[in-house]
Amino acid sequence: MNVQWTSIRLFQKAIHLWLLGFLFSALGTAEWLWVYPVSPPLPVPGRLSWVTHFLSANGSEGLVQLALVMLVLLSIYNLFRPMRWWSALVVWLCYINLMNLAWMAGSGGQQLMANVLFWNILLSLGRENALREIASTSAFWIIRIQLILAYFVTGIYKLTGTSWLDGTAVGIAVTDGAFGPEWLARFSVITMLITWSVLALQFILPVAVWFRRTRVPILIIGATFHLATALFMGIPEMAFAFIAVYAIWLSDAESARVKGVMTMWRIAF
Amino acid sequence: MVIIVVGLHTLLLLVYTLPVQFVPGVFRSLSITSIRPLLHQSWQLFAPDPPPCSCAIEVILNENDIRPIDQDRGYLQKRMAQTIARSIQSELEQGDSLPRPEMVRSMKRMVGDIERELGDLEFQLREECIVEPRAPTERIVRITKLKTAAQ
Repeated sequence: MNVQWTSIRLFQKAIHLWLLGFLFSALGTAEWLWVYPVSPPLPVPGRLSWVTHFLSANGSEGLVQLALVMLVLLSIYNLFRPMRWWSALVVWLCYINLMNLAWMAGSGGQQLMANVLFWNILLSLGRENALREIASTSAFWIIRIQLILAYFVTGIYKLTGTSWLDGTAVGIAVTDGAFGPEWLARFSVITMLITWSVLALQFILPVAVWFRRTRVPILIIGATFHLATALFMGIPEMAFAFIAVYAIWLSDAESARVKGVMTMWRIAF
Repeated sequence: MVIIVVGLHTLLLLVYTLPVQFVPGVFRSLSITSIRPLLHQSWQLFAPDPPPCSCAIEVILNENDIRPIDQDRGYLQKRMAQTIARSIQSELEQGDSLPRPEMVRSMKRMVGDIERELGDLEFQLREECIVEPRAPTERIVRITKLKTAAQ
């Protein structure tokens, strides 16, 4: 069960960069999301859920602001410093409470991030002793599987309907005023091809990431698909959440190459 | 040890997230107990099918000025307006004539600034439904006035 420690660091940087980007994009809406929330408080299922719904149940404006400030500061800290489990724990607590407080603005991407941030607590334990290594290795594989499970499960759901099989799904989705782009529906052959390609991607990606030769190409295809949904369908944070989590599937050598490209980019610009 | 932990978690996650018809009830409740409190997730965007009717809540300022409640304030505001609209649409489909009070409060909070200026506002649900899936641009528009003044 090889753990790719270089990839883990890249993954941790990517998810904290996502957090900062998401918070920045939410700034203009903060009043409706968190300060005077539009979302009514959710009923809290089970005792443990008080941990995840504390702000919804007992949140004051001051606590919300504290959670936001801590989330920003610790995300910046985690970007530049080696991850510590306590810092990962506070980030997850703040994030999941803010997410549940604004559940009406939620998305699969936000849920994916909440889950990987939870497992990132164990991932940050490192390999100082055998127990820590078991915890972090388990977390590493759970995050990897969490990502591919999301594709696989949504693919299975789509097979239980009719429109993904008959090729009309993307045409219907893009003409929904909440998504778009409507102009795409004028090209019915293209929307049919996109429908079947998306369905295929959701079953191919969970298999292709296991093999060295197909891993990077399928992740590039997946990232292209997500970027298109960010650009045209109004779900940017979902797209970037998935792309950020892709880093966990890279091998150490592939992560080193990504880092090299990023360094060259930094030097060039 | 790692294989057991990861395998067990994956199994519970699959049972929790897969469509109910594929999972026996007893396993479902076990997965709900273990996954829901901290690791809730659902992967059903546009699945099993994209919704045949798009929907939006609009605020009526006057006969000529009807606006969506998100007021073009960005993607998260738009998402909240969409969640409210979907919830109200589903309530109306079930035969409720009044939206739930918490949804009315959410709607009013979205347009709080306008309401402070103009007083009690009226809202409507605007739906655009496909007739033929192969011609999704041709949609029938359906407007339902919402009774919210008393709430």
